[in-house]
Amino acid sequence: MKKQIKQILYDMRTQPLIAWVTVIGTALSIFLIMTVVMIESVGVMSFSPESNRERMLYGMYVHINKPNGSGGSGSMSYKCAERLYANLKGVEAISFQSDGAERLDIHGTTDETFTASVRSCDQGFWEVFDHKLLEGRLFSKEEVEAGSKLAVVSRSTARRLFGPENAIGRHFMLDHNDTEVIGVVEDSSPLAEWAYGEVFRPIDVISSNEWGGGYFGNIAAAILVEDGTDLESVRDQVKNRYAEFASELKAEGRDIIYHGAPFTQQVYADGIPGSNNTPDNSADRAINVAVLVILLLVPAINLSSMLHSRLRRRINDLGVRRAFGCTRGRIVRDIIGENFIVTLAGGLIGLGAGVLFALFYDGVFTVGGESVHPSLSMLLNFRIIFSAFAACFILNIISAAIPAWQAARMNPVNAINAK
Amino acid sequence: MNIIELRGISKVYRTKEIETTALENVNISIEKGEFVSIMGPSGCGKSTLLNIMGLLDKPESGEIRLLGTDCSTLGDNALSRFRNEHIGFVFQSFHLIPSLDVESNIEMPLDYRAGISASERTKRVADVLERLDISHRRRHKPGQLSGGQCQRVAIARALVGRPSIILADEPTGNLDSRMGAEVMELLHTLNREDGITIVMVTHNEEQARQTDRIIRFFDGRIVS
Repeated sequence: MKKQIKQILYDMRTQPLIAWVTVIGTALSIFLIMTVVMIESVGVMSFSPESNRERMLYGMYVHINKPNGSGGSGSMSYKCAERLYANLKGVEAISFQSDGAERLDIHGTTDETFTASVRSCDQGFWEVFDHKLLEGRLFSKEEVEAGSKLAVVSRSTARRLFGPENAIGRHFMLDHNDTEVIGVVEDSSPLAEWAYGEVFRPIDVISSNEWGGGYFGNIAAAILVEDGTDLESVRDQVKNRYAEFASELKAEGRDIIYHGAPFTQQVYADGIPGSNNTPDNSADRAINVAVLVILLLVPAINLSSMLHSRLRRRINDLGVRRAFGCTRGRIVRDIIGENFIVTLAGGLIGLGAGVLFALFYDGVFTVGGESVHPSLSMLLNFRIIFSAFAACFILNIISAAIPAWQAARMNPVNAINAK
Repeated sequence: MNIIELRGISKVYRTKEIETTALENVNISIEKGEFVSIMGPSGCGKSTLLNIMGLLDKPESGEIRLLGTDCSTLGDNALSRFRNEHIGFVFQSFHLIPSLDVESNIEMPLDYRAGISASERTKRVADVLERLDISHRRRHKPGQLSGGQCQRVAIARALVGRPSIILADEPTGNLDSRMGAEVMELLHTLNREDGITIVMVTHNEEQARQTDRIIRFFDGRIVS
């Protein structure tokens, strides 16, 4: 390792152009790959308050046709959501909540009126998502059922509403309703699309803006499956409920169409193509894989020719090593190992550049069309660092394997006498 | 006891247009502890013979027996191991690794040998550095050394693995006469004190005369 680093430093001094182009080329490649990986990862990896995404299932829409051929699809009513998702086996917690956060004006004791993201949810929300409670308490089942005018607010919202004073027990105007603050939670990222909010209020379980014969409304279900339970077993239960529901609806001359709900975090992150379509993102995934392969292959071919040039200048050295007993396998290992150090150095620069790009450049991450910046802890997690490491490793193998093999195959006499 | 035995060695270099016979039915026996010179005009096959003797190149036909082992039948890894354990090379152009300092250059053959501890390596390198009087240059890079010092380092590298045979291809060819004489003295000392068998290709008649035996080559054949 020490000798390999010495060789790299020597190359950087004696062949600076090739060495730096190699490092910068690797950095650029890893930067592009990591940008793609980070965008992908942030959609599926767990971070607070969505700390258990790998155990999450999401029920979002229903699609019901009428006998005359017309039909509708959209978010569920509370009644419909309960019918499909309540009391499933193997579920740790379930949250019935509004199908997204609404943007509503709020006004507290400061003179400022401002727009906040308001999420309506039931008490299960606090079990499914792990918002960090800073002060006060969270609302209960009874308070949800009673339609109480109270709210839990995020820390920065509490400060904007009431200044530095304690927010608990204070009142503010929310959607023209006098609302009491009962709890303050830590701010969360809008990238936590199911858990994010600045104000959380009990959902109106009575009406939930019902329409379409009471089947449609504005409710979605977020389901936290028990640890160790197969997600498919829960999905199968829902599928069966759809089948039972379909039989009941047949009596009314209606038909419910199953589109694969509830969806895993991966399916949700890949995109749900509306309420009346079954998600099928295999084409998108194939394109993503193709993009990653191209992002690896194109620089790998260039890096391979760079390495070839570097090795051509060291052919005498390789011949001498062979003379003193270095095996072909060892030559290959040493060259790949040495190249891996260079690739890793470039990879670290690329990863750093990718993280900075994701943190500060507008438009890398968007929610509802608005640019959102992730936190550093969301980007520097095991999955992303491992992906960067794996990308470096693959890039190294692709770029170094052929030149290393060619160098190892050279006749030692020809190598020693090469000019 | 013969430490090197070549029987019926032939080597032909082929291109699309031409075939060149470099060695033709060469038979050589060298005893343990001998210091042998190989002489002849340029292109007569001296270096080819040395490369075949050092298991760096394969003959067209014939048998190579070193230290009683038939090396003609060994695979590439076994040949590498054999070279590492039994043969040291000294080249006319030194062929030191420019990125490594003197110490690391000398240590290189031990990198490829299994079963040598780090402390043993350090000790062996320190021993040869001291013996060849280059300890004060241990941290220098080859580019910072004179030709004579480079050749001393190269000899140290050949010596560190404690080989039975040293093959030297014009070891004084790139040195002035004073440094050349120093290098020759060093090789004679190794031959005399350590009993290392040395085979040296040279154009220098005077240096050849100082060795135990001279093998003269012409057109790929031994002439005397």
